[in-house]
Amino acid sequence: MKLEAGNRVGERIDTFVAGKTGLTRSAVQKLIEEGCLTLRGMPVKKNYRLVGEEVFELELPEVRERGLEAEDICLDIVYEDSDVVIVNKPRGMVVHPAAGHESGTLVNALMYHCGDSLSGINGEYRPGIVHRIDKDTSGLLIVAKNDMAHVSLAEQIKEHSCYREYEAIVCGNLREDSGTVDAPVGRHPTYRKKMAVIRDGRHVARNAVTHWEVIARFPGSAQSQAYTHIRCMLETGRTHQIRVHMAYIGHPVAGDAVYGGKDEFGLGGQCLHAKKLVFTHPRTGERMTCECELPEYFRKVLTILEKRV
Amino acid sequence: MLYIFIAIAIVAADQLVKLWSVSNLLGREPVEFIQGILNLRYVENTGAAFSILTGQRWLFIALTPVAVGVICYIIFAKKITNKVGLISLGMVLGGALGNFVDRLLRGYVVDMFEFAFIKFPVFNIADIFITCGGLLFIAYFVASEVSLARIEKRRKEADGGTESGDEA
Repeated sequence: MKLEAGNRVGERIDTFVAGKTGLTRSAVQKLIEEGCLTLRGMPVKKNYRLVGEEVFELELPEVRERGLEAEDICLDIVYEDSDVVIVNKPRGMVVHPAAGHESGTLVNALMYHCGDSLSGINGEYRPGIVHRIDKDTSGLLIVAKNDMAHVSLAEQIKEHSCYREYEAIVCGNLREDSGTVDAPVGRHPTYRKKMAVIRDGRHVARNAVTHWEVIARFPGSAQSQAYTHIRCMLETGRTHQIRVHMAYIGHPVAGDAVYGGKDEFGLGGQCLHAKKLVFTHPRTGERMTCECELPEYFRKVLTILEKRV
Repeated sequence: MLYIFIAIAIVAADQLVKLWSVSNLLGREPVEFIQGILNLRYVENTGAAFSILTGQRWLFIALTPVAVGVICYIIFAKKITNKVGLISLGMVLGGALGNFVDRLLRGYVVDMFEFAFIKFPVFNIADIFITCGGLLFIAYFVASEVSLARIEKRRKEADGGTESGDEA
């Protein structure tokens, strides 16, 4: 893959490549160490700074050789062509292998489904992955099948032109019919696996904006807790964004014990579904919309709540 | 809460300047502060900001807690979570409380700043923060409406776009 520096003078090579490919800086540094990034046939050094107008060649390691196993797991493919594949991820499935989840992930399943055609940009364990959905969240995930699609989708995610819409059941009755949470999200200062709204200026946090609107209210009674069925429109896509933001305004997602949501329905995880995805097709440039139905667990909760009223 | 701290800092600064004005400006001719721009003139004001509704002391004493209550509710119930929105509310809150203290303790509000180049009511630190905070809040509000409109546009576009979900 060719990466053109253009007029970006003085920028660090890892930052530049990370920005172009959507890879993390540490992943880029690893690739550079392995000699995968070359300039006029010579490997580039890690501390290289752009002088402008260079054309780098990035050669990505083959996905298949790296010992990640393709597994025949049933996938709900919502859309597929030669560039992208959109999967409706079931809740409970991990997107890509990580410590503790080496197999049975969406990536394993996709490798079986797509064969060799998955973009290798994001490294050995995350081929084709341009964005993620939490393990217990269900819904649409778009995956790149080649490097061209990967670069395009990563850029759309970065500049927020890839639009995503979720539906969730949250605890309590929201006072307004719609609203916005605009609060920076970062790693929780003490609980490293949790995220939180961070405003102290000492810890790293990135801006995050969630718009929400009420679809249906289930006011509850003296014996039963109130719930609200909402739609969330994301401007940004930070880790755990909706879960953290809704908990922040006092309405955690139902079943989301990590952020204080009651698990009355025995879900074992948040009642959150990525329902809609809008993106620009990397090849045709056409604006495409993908939507999927609410999954069974979600509909079950809704049925229970509807019966209560 | 950082934004409550902003309000407290404004009240403190406002009260200090007022105390200084009482001891240094009261009963004297206006003095030049920044030549051609700002004069210092001691004025006792019984109205709202910039001397509107003069003489309605009790009206304001009654209204301020309502305004303060509404602002505190918005901040603590997280009805607004945007930093700029919260800072602007903190500024208005501080300004409102600064003048409230005067009305309660003195019965009037002490003003000291006067524009030298234009005929404009004498004002104080609290007035400055109420005005700037109010303007900032309007700016925040417009910006948030714009970002909401952008999301709405994407949604509309999504609804009218290609329904690729059916093709698979």
